Amino acid sequence: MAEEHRVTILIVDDDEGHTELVRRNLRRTGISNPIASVDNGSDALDYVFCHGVYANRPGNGELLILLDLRMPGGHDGVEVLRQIKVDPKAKSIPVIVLTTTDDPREINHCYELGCNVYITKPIEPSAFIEAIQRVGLMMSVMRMPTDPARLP
Amino acid sequence: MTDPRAKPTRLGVRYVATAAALSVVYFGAAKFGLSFAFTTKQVTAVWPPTGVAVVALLLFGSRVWPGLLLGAFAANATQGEPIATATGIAIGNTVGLIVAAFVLRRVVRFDNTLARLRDVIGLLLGAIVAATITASNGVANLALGGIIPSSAYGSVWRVWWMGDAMGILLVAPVLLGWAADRSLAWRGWRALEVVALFATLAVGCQVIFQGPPQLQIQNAVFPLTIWCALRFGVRETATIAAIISGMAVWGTAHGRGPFATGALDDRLALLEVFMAIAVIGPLSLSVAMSERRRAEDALQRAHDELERRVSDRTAALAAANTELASKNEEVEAFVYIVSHDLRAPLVNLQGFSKELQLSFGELSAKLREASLPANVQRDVEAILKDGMGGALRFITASTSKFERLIEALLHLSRHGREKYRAEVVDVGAVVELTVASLRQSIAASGATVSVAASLPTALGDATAIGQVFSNLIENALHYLRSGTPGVIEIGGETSGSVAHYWVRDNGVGIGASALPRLFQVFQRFHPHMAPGEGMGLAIVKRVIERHGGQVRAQSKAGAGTTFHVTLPAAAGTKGLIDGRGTPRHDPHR
Repeated sequence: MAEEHRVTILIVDDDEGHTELVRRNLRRTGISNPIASVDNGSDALDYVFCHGVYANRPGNGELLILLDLRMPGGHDGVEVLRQIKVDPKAKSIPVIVLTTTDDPREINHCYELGCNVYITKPIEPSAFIEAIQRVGLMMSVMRMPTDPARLP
Repeated sequence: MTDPRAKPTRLGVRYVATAAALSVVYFGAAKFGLSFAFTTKQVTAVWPPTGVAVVALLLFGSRVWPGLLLGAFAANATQGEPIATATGIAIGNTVGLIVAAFVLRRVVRFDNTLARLRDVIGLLLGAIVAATITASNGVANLALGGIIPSSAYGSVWRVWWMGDAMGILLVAPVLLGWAADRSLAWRGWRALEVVALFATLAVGCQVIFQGPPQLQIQNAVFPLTIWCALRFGVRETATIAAIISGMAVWGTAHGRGPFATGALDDRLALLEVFMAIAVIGPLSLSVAMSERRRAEDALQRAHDELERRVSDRTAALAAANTELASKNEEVEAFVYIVSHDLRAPLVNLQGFSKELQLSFGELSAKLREASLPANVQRDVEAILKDGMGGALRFITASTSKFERLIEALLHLSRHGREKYRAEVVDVGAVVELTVASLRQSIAASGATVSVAASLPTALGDATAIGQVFSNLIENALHYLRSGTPGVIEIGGETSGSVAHYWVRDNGVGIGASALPRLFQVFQRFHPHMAPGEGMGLAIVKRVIERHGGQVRAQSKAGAGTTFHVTLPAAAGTKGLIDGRGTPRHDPHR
């Protein structure tokens, strides 16, 4: 399996600690994909659309986004999600919303905008790890149909 | 006193004109009255000038007396009387009318608009006073002048008295009435009614007072005067009475109508009595009616004012309520946001504590593998286990506690934000379900929970109401007295529009000092007895208040607690819905 064909995981979260925890726990569950992270919405969009400082980012492979909703600045998670899902090319990128909010209205709103999975960040550490593991499992499931050539 | 000398310099044009006009009008009225004279020149059934003069004195003040005196003198002098007699009569008439005006103003406190029944009676009194003076003086002057024989004194006095009194009674109300209200604002049907009234009056008077003497139907005018008194005001009623009287006098003077036969004195007496009744009766009725209308208006105004105040008050209350609701929403939103924002650092605290623990484990394993000197090994293990391990345990415990508090806050804010359904709730069934779901805790506590055979239905949200009872029962279970078998009783009753429930226990109770804080968040009074964050009763209060009910606790330390809860009653509603949303029959069967 060539490295450049592997899915890159983009973590979008303004909380460095959360990003680090997600990264560590993904690694711990055996996910070895490249992991990138940005801490605000506009950087996330730049990364996705190869704009600005990410114009020449390495790897043209597929993306998977772990998106936090509550971020400072003009582009919060909801706005990032909206812009990705209205773009004809980018909308196929799987987006997993991983946030602290469990407000049903917010969850519904995200699903309406086209988020693939919505996960509330649990506070309890084992539950958090479990959730990240679920994400890892989902990633391996979601990856397959996007690249039928690598099916056995 | 009404002395013109009081204002000697104020004899302005206006005053002179008024006095002059009075003398002219008086004179005219006298001539008009004399045209109705019966036999002797001075004997008239009605002497209109007295009415004109009284009104002038009332409206313009007694200082216009010179006009009155002049008019009276002229009227009498032109009847061919000696100057002395005419002068005497004029002076007597003037004095009598001034006295009458004085009595009206000072004694009766007469209202010139004839607003009260008191004014009608007062006018009658004024007429009697005036007529008594003028008649006595008139007869005396006629006697002194040798104009009438002594045998006629009594008869002339009587006729004079009646004429002057009737002059006031008939003419004064008409003038006062029209002076008070001059508008002719009859529109539509009202105008038609006026025309109909006066047309009927004209025809009726023609038939009655121009008919043959044997046709004694003069009382037929009274329905007309009553009609007018009930439907119109004082001025119209006075006018109609004056017209009827005028027609009666005119007919009688010309030998027609019901008063045209018999001896002169008798005819005259009957006519005067008829006129007196024709004016005083309807006028009293009319004034009473307008007094009633005014009272009704005042009542209506008071009523409107009250309504306005009630609606103002209601609006103010509604505004206050709305404000309170929005304040409450703000607080709920604030709690919600804060709790969520607090979660983010907590995720880190918890997550990295876990990371530390993992590293701690790895480090311990590596150390065991490493071959360190025994004493170093022992020291390092002590640092790891007691130092780092102990610190980690405290951090983990504290973050767990932190998490529970935040969860509790979120829980409470959710209870303030959830949309409630307004349905008829079979509280009996809800409590049954709640008790069933608490079966294990109840069994563990060894307590007996007894639910009344029937509980009133309520209007509200079944799930939320279930939560209330669940919290109250759990609360009771937590605070039972050790050594005493726990008894928890749940009952209820409906009083009017309120359903009242209670949950009573025989537990440790709550001290009087703690009662006021009982329903506040994070209040725990026996922390050693039960787990929890002290949110249960705060949630109960929130849910009940959002239902428009109230909750209070009755307790004594050591003597158990009773929680009283009220909810809007759903009495008399059919098709009850229970906690699961399925239709049920009346639970009170």
